[in-house]
Amino acid sequence: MEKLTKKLLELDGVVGVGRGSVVVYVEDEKYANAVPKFLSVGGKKVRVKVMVVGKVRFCDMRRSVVRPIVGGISIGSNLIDNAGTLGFVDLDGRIVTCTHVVGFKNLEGDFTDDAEVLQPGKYDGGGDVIGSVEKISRWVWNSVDHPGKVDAALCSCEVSKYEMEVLSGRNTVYKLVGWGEAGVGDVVRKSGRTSGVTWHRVVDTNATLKVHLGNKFAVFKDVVIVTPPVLPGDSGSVFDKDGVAVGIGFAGSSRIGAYVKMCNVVEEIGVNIERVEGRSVERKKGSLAKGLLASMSLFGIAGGLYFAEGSFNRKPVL
Amino acid sequence: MDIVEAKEELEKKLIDKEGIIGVGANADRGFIVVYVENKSDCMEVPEEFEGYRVECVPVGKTEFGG
Repeated sequence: MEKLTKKLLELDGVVGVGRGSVVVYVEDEKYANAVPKFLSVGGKKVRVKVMVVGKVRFCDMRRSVVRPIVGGISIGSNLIDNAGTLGFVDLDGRIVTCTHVVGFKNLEGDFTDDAEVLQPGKYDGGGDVIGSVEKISRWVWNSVDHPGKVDAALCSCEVSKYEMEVLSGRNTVYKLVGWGEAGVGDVVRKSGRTSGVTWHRVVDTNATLKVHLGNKFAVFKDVVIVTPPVLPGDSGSVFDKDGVAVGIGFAGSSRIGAYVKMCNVVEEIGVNIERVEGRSVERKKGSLAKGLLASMSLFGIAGGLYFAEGSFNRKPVL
Repeated sequence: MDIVEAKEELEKKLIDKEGIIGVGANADRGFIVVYVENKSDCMEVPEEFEGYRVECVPVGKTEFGG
């Protein structure tokens, strides 16, 4: 049977062989004709069943049902077809993520705190309800005079969970020890539903940023800019430095990512996480623009960022 | 005017303009950074403001990340 299995698996489109009776699993019906109808097994003629099962892929754990829940996996709202990232579960057993992941009632960005939380999110197939929204940060759309500081939400959790733990590899996690701050030049880590665990360099710790949703925009103050960018679906990821949570990822462009600071998240929505004294990072000196370029080179980003210093037509003063 | 006040002032003047994405500052090095969508948007950005050097960095359009 071993020999037969090997032979069958060598055929184009064959993705598996069953035992007991002989069953051959193929990717597409077009490959079925290549499979013999009968085989000789131990001198007996055995009929071969063919089943079309499609292409077999490794299961993407972050977008599947994960219990107990842990940071870095897909979640979403029951009200919209979306998926973002569960940042982490705080010391009170509540889920921390982004407002725009669980706090919108529609794709136009109207706020609600009546949503239930699904794991995985609907965009990833939709799972069971694991909790409901308790508190969201809000902001004013299309106004530069009413900036927000935080895009973060706190949700109850009704399923088993790993508090303060974030998914690292397939069966491994890392622990968050509290919250603190990162400085310009620091390398920070995040674990997201789309891109998994990635490292980023901090290039600005006090930026004001205009963030778009369709034709709308919102202005956020006191946010941190990192490179390389985070990807769609990574929103809600907790950024940490050596296990110290420094912020929640919420926005980005093709060249930068942005997170809201954990100090503002704690203040605005009341996350229960301990302040880690003395772990906030010494700020390193260096040109921010050079930092951007250096980090892009460090992380292998093609193209590179342009920056001023006479490169473009500029007004001398404003 | 310190650099944080200068950054806030420049931000007020620029943030509602088309193509301006954000404003930051590097207090240690004493310069302001203006993030813009495209290179051509740097035309709106001064080279200097209130005595501080201003860097212009094209970053593309920023959107909520999912």
